[in-house]
Amino acid sequence: MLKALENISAFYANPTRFMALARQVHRPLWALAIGVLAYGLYRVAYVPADYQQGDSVRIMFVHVPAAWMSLFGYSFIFIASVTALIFRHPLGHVAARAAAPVGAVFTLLALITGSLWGQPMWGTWWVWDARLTSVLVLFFIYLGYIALWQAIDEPTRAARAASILAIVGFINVPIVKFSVDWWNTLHQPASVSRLARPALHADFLYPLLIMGAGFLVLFLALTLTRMQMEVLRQRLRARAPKGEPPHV
Amino acid sequence: MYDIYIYASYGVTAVLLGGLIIVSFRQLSKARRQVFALEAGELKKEDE
Repeated sequence: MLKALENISAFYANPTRFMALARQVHRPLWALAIGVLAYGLYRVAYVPADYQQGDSVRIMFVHVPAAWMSLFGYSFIFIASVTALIFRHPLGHVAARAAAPVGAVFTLLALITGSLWGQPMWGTWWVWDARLTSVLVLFFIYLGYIALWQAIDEPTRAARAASILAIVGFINVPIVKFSVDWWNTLHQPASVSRLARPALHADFLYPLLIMGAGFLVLFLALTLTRMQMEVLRQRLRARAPKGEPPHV
Repeated sequence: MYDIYIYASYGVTAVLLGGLIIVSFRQLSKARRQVFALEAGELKKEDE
């Protein structure tokens, strides 16, 4: 299994082969993302009101998947950076750089929708509790990562510096995940990850999982789109005359 | 009662994700055009 993964990874280390695969996968992936999200929204429209939260529970169907994607996105960047730094896979940096704005947008979305859910339920837009603060820190790490790529002109140095930041910043991911268990927080503990017996009723759980799947496919589709753009930009940079970097 | 918060949440989601999708496709399209123009220019030089 590992050997097969290694072979596939080595085969697609060639950007031309990767671009050929990406062209084939691109449209079906976008079609799948739109289909799953449309079905998820259809299911959300028929979710009953919660006995305590009323209709405001509908915010959960965008807030929770966005929060999942914020952590998934950073984990993706971490794995891609490790792959690039340690195994020297040429697409590692491309994948990490492409995923960063996508992860940042999902994190911002989790913060905003959480605030919009917190006001009617907690009576406040924001509290400096461990979960909210660690997600805000995660958002700043995303911004720092994106800024670092922009700040260094030489691509090899920029890639190395950004990868090191991504790897060091990964320490925040378990802090975000377990903050609700380690500290007393206003934010509730995990309801879905207790797979043996989730705290959510099936009426809420299945639409939430479908929306989660939709956000995941959307994340992958967006990252693939941006990876193609990054490969093309690399080609442009490689062909640009010295001293005249192309404005891409 | 909570309508404004629900609509605001879905509205922000649509704007942020929609914006990211539009920007990503525009950037991809621009990069494709530039590579195409560069390759066409190189081919022209070779012909000359």
